[in-house]
Amino acid sequence: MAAFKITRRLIRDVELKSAVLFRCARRTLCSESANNSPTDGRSPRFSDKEVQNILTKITGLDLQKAFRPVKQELKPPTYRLMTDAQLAQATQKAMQVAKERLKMPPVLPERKPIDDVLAEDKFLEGLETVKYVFTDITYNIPHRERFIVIREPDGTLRKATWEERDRMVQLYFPREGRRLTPPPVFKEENLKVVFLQDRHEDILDLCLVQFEPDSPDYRRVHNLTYEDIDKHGKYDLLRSTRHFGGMVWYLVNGKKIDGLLIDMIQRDLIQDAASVIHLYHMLHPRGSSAKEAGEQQAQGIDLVKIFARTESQKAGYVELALQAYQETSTECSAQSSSP
Amino acid sequence: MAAPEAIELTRLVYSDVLNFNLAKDTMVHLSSLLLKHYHGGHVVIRLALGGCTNRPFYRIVAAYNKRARDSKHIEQLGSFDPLPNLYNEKLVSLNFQRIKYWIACGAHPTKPVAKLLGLSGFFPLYPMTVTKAERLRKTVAQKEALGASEEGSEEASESKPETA
Repeated sequence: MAAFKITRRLIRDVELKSAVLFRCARRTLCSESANNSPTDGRSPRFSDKEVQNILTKITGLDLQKAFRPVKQELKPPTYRLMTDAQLAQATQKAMQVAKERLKMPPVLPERKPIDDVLAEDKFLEGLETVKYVFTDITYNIPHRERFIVIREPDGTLRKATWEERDRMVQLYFPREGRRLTPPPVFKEENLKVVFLQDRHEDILDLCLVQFEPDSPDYRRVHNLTYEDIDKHGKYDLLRSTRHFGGMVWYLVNGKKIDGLLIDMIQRDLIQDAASVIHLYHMLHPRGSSAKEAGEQQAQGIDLVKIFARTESQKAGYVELALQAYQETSTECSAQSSSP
Repeated sequence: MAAPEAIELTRLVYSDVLNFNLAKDTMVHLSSLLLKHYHGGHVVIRLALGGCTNRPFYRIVAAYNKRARDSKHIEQLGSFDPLPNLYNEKLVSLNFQRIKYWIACGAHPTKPVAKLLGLSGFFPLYPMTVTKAERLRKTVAQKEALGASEEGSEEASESKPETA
């Protein structure tokens, strides 16, 4: 009897652990399979390899910003004595960890509402005044495939809507940092206050924890944040964070890359600007700038010039910034060559 | 006197049987071995009451028939909150995989558990649920009929003094 109990406990432990591993593996596998899908004959998606490469390159890897002091428990710092080789190794490791942290959250199309009725039992009407929510708490199934059904007071048995699903899953399988009801920060008026304080990155992190990537709330908060950044030109707040790729994708899809280009040119990031325009051509291949660039096979700063001439809305500003950059670059080369 | 070929044959057969038993789909039903402690007892799936004063909370539990209602159970299979929440919902959680296992082992669900499973769609609807609904509708229809007849008699009595 005792032996049976022990074996049952062992089997359950093994099941639980394999279930956890399976779930983690399943989540990573899903993202990988999305990356490997072919792009022929379709407009490029956020998860395509080329697009991801461009976006990671533009995001940059500022170690100082990635490992900024986060609010944690107060611990005395640890000091280690290292040789130069060991220091190089440690920086390599830190760069790998930073890359993990900079992994971009997925940009998914908005989820379609569920309105599936499983049974209509009209004769049960009047028996109850409340809804019954039945959740399946089997451990081994992914949350998207869980059965969550609702028996209404009028007898219909229907599948739960997305909001009810999120609430139930959070109730029975709580995720750290996520609250049952979304905090009032995500309302419009409160978001404005947050933007005034320049805390776009924090609000985006909070949004990532609280909402699912394809929920309408997630998209609304992200779009509002990106619009605000574009309006005030605060692109540097998100540079070297995991949200930069998503922002660039949103701006390129909405054809609002002028502010971003000006900011990049002013910071002497011409290669990044060229990659942004390359991405723009990938997404809008029938525009005039894409055709001209294709004809001339332009690279680097020429791409930017072509774009500034043809499809840019703030053409004047972009050309001014380009001029200033070229003057400073000629000055620098003159200074370096003269002595 | 077992010949070496016979031993080899039995070993092969035994390994086959082992492999068959350890396959994913077959279940080793050991509940018959466990029931040797209770005479005539069986496993039931029932509601165990918990919570505080004026605040009940039920756990859906697989336990021996002879055990006390709230005492040691074999496994918890879910929960049921009888008080509705902010959104006017009564929350029921059911671990269908394990419920299937225990029913396959021969567990009997009690009436409230069977009612809940019927409402959820996992079981067909419990007959008393249907009967209750029918009785309710009958009483409502009767009340309406009574009310209509009362109104009719009131109108008749009102019109009589007016005419008189």
